[in-house]
Amino acid sequence: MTILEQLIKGFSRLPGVGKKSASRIVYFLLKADAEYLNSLSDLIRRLQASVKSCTVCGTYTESDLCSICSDFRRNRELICVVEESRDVQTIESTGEFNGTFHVLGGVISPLDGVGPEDLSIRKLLARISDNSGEVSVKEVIIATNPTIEGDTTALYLVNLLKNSGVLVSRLALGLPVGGDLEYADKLTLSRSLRGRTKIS
Amino acid sequence: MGFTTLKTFDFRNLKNQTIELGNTEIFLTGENGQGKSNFLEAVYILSYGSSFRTRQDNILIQQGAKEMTLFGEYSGKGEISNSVSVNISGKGKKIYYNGKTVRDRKDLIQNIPCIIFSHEDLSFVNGTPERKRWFFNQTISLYDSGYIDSLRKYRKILKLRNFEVKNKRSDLLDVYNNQLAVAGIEIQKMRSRITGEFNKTFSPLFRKISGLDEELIITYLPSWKNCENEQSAVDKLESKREADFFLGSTSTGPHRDIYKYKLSGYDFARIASTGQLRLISLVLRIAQSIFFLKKTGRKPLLLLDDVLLELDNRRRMRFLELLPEYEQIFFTFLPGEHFNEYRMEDTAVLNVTNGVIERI
Ligand SMILES: [Zn+2]
Repeated sequence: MTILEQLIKGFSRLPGVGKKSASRIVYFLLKADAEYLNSLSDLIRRLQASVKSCTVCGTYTESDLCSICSDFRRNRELICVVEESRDVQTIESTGEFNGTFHVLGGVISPLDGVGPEDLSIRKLLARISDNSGEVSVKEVIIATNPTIEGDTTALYLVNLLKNSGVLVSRLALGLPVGGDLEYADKLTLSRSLRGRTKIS
Repeated sequence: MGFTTLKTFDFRNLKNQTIELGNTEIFLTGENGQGKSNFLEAVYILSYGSSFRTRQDNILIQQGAKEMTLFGEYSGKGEISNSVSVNISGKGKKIYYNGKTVRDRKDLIQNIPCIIFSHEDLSFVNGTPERKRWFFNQTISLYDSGYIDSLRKYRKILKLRNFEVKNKRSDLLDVYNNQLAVAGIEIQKMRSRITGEFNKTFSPLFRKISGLDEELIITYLPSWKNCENEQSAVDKLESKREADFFLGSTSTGPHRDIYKYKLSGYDFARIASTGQLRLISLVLRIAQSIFFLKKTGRKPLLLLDDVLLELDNRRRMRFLELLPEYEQIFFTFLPGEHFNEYRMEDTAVLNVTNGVIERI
């Protein structure tokens, strides 16, 4: 296979990119200037080594602690639980939330081989039961997507946290059923952040 | 109006051809095995995106061909013409409505409502509980796509719960019980309400056609008996936990619901003659058509696959008098039948021989 063919094949593996778009990208790169190409390939090469998960919340970060966990103005009594790192960006973009996050790294989906033990749940429980610091967690907002798997995960967490003494609420009310947090517009998201319902 | 044009390419035994329809009543005549039912199937596939005879799409492709395509021009009353096409190949199925890809079949059903009367309908009366549920699911799905979503959601959660039960794992069972109860109660409430409404159309109609004095009433018996809310359904699931683990599947819920046809309290399907059972199945379809019209104000397309054959002359006439309003209707006849007796104002007669369809 030629380099051209290999690259087209490589790009068509990217999410949302078909064979047609892949070949458009490759032909674009073929004509692009060297500086752009060098910096792009350098960034891609460094990506996985430089970006890691925040040791506290699991969000992608380039230091040990993410910018949210290391910000003392954030309300640490409040944890918003999300499926993926990109959900943190979505909620941050509303500017409505001042607490901290916890990234599960997926949803419970036994048919895909993902059980509760495969998610960052133990770490979440440890954060909640940790009384060594100055502040302890008082409220957990579960912001998994309103899909069947998102609901399963939320209900599982609600059961786990039933006797933990923290307030548990579910976000994503008013979001379209089956829709992803990612696609919710800011207004809907802000509204559901303010109007979250307490479960326990 | 209904379908004005239909084109077939490598579909079943039909020759590749363009068939001009455009009439309100379409009579198809021909010997058995020539392609009359295949033609009805083509109309059905353009309406539903799937066949009523098989779930295996590949057997719809003509022998020796690699793919098949059906194309239809359709218009409702006073509407501009719409085009629909279905292509099936080794790569799968592609459906287009006015040139745009249809990703979910439920969007197609809303556009071209179609109801078929066929031999298999008998199983709605004396068949498995699954076949009976299928009929009532379709009745609701024809006008309420939210119900299709509810069914899909329920089936997915059921699959997840069964997976857990089969693998003898219980850590997620509480959660799935909860989710299954919420989705299931929604379906149960809908079924219960619609059965009541449906009877108002069905029972008087059956009395008229059958000549029986008593009313035949469809009774809905939910598997979660006496469960009015989600919590009672959760309790029911919980109480069957051991049995479910033993069986490796979920033993209660809307996927186990039962429908019965009761005449003065008796299970009529057990004592009725074959002729009476047939009649019930016909009336079910008529009632389904009327019910759809009541709910949406739209007339469906009707396909009658050999059903007149099974009725004696008296019942046949009565059946035709009580036919529901339709946008377009397709009948099949054997060559010997006096179909001219049934001709109406705007009837076209098509002869079907060896896969070729011609106007006569
Ligand atoms: Zn962090």
